Amino acid sequence: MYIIEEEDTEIILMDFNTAYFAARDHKSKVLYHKDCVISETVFNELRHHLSGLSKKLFVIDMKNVVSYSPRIFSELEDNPCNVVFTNIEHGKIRQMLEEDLKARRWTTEEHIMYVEEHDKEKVNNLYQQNVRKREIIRIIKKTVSDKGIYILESSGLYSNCYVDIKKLFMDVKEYYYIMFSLAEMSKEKIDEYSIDAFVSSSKNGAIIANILGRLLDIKEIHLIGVGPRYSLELGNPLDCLKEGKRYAYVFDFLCTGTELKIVNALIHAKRAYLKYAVGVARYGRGDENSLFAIETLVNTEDMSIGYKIAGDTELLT
Amino acid sequence: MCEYMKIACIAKMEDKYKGAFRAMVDAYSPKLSPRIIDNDAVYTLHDFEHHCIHIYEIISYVLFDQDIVYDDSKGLDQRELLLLNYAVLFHDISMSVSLDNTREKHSIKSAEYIQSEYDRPDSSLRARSTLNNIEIKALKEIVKAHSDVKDTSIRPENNGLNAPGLMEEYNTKYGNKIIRTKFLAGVLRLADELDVSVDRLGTGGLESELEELENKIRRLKKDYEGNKDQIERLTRYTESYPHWKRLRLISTVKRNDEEDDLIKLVIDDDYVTKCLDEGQTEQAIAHELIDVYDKVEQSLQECIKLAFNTRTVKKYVPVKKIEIATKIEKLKKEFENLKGIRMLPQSTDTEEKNIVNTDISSVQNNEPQVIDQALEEELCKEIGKRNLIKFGHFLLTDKYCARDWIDTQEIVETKKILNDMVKSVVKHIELKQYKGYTIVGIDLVGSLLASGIAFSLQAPLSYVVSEKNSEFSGKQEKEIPEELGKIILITDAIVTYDTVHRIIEKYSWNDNVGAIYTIFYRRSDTLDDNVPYIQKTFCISNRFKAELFEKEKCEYKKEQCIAMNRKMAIDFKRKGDGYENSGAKF
Repeated sequence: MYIIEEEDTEIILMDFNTAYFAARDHKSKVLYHKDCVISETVFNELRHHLSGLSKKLFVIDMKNVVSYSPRIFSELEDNPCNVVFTNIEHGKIRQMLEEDLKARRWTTEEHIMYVEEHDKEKVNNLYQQNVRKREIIRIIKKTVSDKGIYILESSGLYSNCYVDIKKLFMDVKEYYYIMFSLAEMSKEKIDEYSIDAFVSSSKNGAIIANILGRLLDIKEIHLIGVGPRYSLELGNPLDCLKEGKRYAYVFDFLCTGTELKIVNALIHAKRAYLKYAVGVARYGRGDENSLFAIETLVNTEDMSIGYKIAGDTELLT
Repeated sequence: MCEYMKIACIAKMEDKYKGAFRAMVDAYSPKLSPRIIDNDAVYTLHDFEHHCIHIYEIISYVLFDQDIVYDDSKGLDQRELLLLNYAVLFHDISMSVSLDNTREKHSIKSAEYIQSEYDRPDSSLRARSTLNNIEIKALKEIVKAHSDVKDTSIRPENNGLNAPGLMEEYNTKYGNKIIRTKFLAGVLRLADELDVSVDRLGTGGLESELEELENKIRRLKKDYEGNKDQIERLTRYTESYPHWKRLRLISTVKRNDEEDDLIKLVIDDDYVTKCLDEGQTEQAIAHELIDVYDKVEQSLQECIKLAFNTRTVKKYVPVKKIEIATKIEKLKKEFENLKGIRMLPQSTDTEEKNIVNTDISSVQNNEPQVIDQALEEELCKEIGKRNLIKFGHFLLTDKYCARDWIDTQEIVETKKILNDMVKSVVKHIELKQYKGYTIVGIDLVGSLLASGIAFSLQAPLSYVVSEKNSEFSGKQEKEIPEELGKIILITDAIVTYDTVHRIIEKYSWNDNVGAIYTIFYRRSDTLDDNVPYIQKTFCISNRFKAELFEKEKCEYKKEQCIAMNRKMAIDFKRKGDGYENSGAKF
């Protein structure tokens, strides 16, 4: 199971874990779905995880859960662990849980179900700090290198940190979590803008676009030679970009947006549209005006890494 | 009282439900197919007196733990029990003579029949079954899931016990309890599969009828001309005959008295002895038996995994394993040998049969073997249709140029082909049991393929940049994580192995690389075949040979080479207050 650990609490995201185990069991077709149905397989993993004696508080996050196999949660009635259900968004789920868990005296309030009052307070405190985003920040921060001065090859500027998304792919569960979060974040906009294909301009961007394309069933195009070092093939007519189509730019880390601007220009030159840009992280707070929507999971301000850019290395020392 | 009413799963229903059930049996059992031979195939009996009653008995005395499953507080709800009994009655009704009785979709057809009957206001099902609309839907899902639908448009993950309909919620009419449709479907499915004994075959008269058919075909074949159509038609009748004969080997199915979790397929030793006397061997009979055993075993394990997997319902069906029971030692030994062989990892899926299970030491013609011949065909057609081979002059290595170039990027940007390639490579990696490997892509196309493979396998992923693309790649793109461990390399095309070799040498990966997968292996007559990595290489296609020219001998001369795949890099460096273009590099 994928667990988010916070001191003496473990948070279990049922929607992500359901997607993860479904991807494990059905390799050939893994599509992202917002609505989550907890299968017995996933529940068995959960039950196994909760089966040991532990003083920890287990928070079962039911965000996006719309259904589950009948009566499976009744098997938790005899479990000695401290469990709180949170993010119960659907009345039907609340009803099912109330029916399944009759032995202990559960209190149900709006989105949360608990036995002990102090557990509820603990969970509310945690969730006020956006647990899911904190986990994303923790994962991305691990990829940050900050022991030198780095050249940003697209723009020719320098920075004191480097967000090396390539490192992310070495931890399977973490990159799965990031990709799942990206799919969740971008799905609505992709549907709203009727995106025809993803476009990427670097290898990390290409990998992210490829996986996101699998999850959301969207085609991808990779404009090699745009970034990080600009190098186009002689006479490349960019036939892959089609007139009238709507594209979304996918990236790993957006700093000054040089590659994004080049891609935008190339797309416009082919009389197509760049409607949306989505990626893992960006420099700054991300509230600048833009001709199109740009969304990232985190920004450098969120990560508190003191990210700076400058045109001269001396300004960073 | 009719004898079937005494069978436990029927007898344990409340009286009010027994009455309704009996009314359904009276109304619908005559419709169940009594025929064996129809529609050009030989079927075993699907009638009430044989097949349905056997299933009720199997459910009651082989599968269910009778102390728990009928318990008022811990067992099945009465409505669930009623639904299960109805499901047994109706599950094969589409095999009836009055309907289109094809086997491939009979489970769907049976469900459709249930709905059509319920929709008729004057039908017995509507008037007397006591089921409401919701329970009818649950019944349909149970019936549908009892057999996989033989339809290629339905994916395995949506078929049988994986059917999405089994995840829907249906509540009982009284008590508003959720009906455990998946569990009930699993019970029916397994019990249906376990009805494999000789009793399924009806009377001996039918056996002699089929034997007579076989003799007739033999006589007709002697007199071939003019009887070709007739032979063809009659031959179809006997296609199921071997299956029918296999059932003759099993006298009964029962649960072991001492071990509660064991089902025994009791062999008819007298019949086996008769076969041995007639010239058959123990080995041949064991081969017949293993086919029956395999089907039942597979069904049992599937049900345990998908339908009997919650703590509550696990107790209802405690069975975990199946064995054969025979006193003929030699037959038992032959059977166990075959069982042992079949437990080795093998391809049984039709798609996997297309994947060549390559023994690393048996590379043919000194070329990597193709891992999926059907995919190779598809790929070649696509290349031809879309003109993805470009002809001209192309840079290959610092020593060679090529006369043609396959647009591999266009191939991986075609979603269907990319997905098929990923699927094939993933299946092959699993077949070869490469576990704990990092998937490493070479350059962009290799990385795209690698990302799909790694994501499917839930394996770590990285990529490397080849020397020829190094100049055009960012610094951090060229760095690789320190601890990659065991590696599977993924690339788009191998011609000279130069790229792969340089990467392996650069990172000292000689002992780390377990396998190399490439879309194209493009052999050239110019080059020596004796390459060290060829034994570890697997490809999707090896059909496109490469025509190479040494640069030194190239007509277009080394310095004036105007290859179509040259890149132009533009470097900007700051000098003083303005930018200086360091010039375009070729």
